[in-house]
Amino acid sequence: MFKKILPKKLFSNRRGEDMIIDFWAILVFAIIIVCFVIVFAAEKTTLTNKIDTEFENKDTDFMLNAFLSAPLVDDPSKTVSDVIVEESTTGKFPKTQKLFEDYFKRTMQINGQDLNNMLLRIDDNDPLSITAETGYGWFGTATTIAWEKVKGYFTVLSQPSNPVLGIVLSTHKEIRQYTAQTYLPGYEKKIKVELVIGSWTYDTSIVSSENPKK
Amino acid sequence: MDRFMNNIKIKKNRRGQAQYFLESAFRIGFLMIALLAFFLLTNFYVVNRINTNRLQSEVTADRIMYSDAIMYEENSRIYMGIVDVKKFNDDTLSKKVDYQTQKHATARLDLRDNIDGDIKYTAYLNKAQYENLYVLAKANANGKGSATIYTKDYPITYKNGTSYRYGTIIMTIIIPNS
Repeated sequence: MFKKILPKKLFSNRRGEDMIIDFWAILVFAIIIVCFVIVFAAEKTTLTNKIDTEFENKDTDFMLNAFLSAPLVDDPSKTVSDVIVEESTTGKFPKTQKLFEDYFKRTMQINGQDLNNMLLRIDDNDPLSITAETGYGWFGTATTIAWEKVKGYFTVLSQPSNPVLGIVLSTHKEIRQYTAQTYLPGYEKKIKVELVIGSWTYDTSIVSSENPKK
Repeated sequence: MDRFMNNIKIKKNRRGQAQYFLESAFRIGFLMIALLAFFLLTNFYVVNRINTNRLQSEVTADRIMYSDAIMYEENSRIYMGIVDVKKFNDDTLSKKVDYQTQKHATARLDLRDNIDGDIKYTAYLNKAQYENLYVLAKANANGKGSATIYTKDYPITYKNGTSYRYGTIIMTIIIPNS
C-alpha cells in the first residue's frame, strides 16, 4: 500500500535495492518491543502494589487488635472488647462508637497514605446462619460504625442498615481500602469484628434513598 | 564486468566508503535497536537488583511495635498496643532494637496525645545517624549515600503511671539507600 502511494525513493536505497522488507521488519519489531515493555511494566506495578497492600493490611490488623485490647481510660479494668461484648446483647453500640472515635481520632495515615474513612463492623451472630439467611455473608446483620474524617475531625457519617452497607461498599469510588478482621477472645465464631480503613467516597444518593436513618 | 570493477573502485575510495556507510546506517540502527531490546528484556527477566528499602522500614517498624521495646510488660506478658512511657526513650530502643552493623535503619518516634494533639514524648533509634540522613533525605538527594523516608501512624494506648490515655505513634523511619 505504502509502496503505491509514496515515491519509490523512500523504499529503495541509492543502488535501487528494495528496502521495503527492512521497513516492515523494523515496524513489526518496534510494535513487539512496545508490547513487551507495556506488559512487563504493568506486571511490575501490580507486584509492587500487591506487596504494599500486604504491608498495609498488616498495619490494619495491628490497629484492630490494639483497639480491641485497649483499656478504657476511665476504667482500666475493662477493655474495648469487654464493652463490645456488653453492648452486643442490646445490638446498639454507643459506647463502642465513642471509643472508636476517641481511639482513632488522630490517625491520619497508613504507611504515608491519607485516610478519609474508617468502618468498624460488629457481627454478633453466627456468621454461618447469616450466610444461609441472606446470601450476603456476614454483612447480613452486622452493625456498622462508620466515620468520615474531614479536615482532621471525625464526624458520624452513617449507620447504614445492612443491605445498604453492601451497596455502599460496592459503589464507593476511588477504591483504596485495607481490612482486618478477628473474633473476640472467648467469643470465637460468635462476635466478629472487622476494621476497614482507607480512602473512598460514598455514593450518597444510594445511601439516602435506601437508608431511612440517613 | 565493467560495472563490477566500478563498484570496487567506488568502495575503495573515501567518498565511496562514506556513501556505503550511510547506506548501511539503516541496518546499523536496526541492529542497535535489537541489542537494546535484548538487554531490556534480559533485565526484565533476570532480577539482579532488589530494592529492599521498603521491606527494611517494615521490619524496623515491626521490631519496635511487635516487641517489648516500648510496649507495656507485666509478668513476662507483653500487652500489644499499650505503650509504657517509661520505656519510651532512646536508651531502651537502642538496647531492644540492637543491630550490630553500622549501616542500618534509623527511626524517630513521636507519641501524640489524642485529646490535645500535643507531642508528649519523642524517642530515637540511632539518633546521630537519623539526623545525618534526615538532612540528606529532605534535601531530595538521590542515590547512594542518601536515604529514603517512610512514615507510619499507629494508634495506641499509652500508660503513664497508673493512668491510660489514647494516642498515636508517628514513626518516621529513614533507610539508607543501598
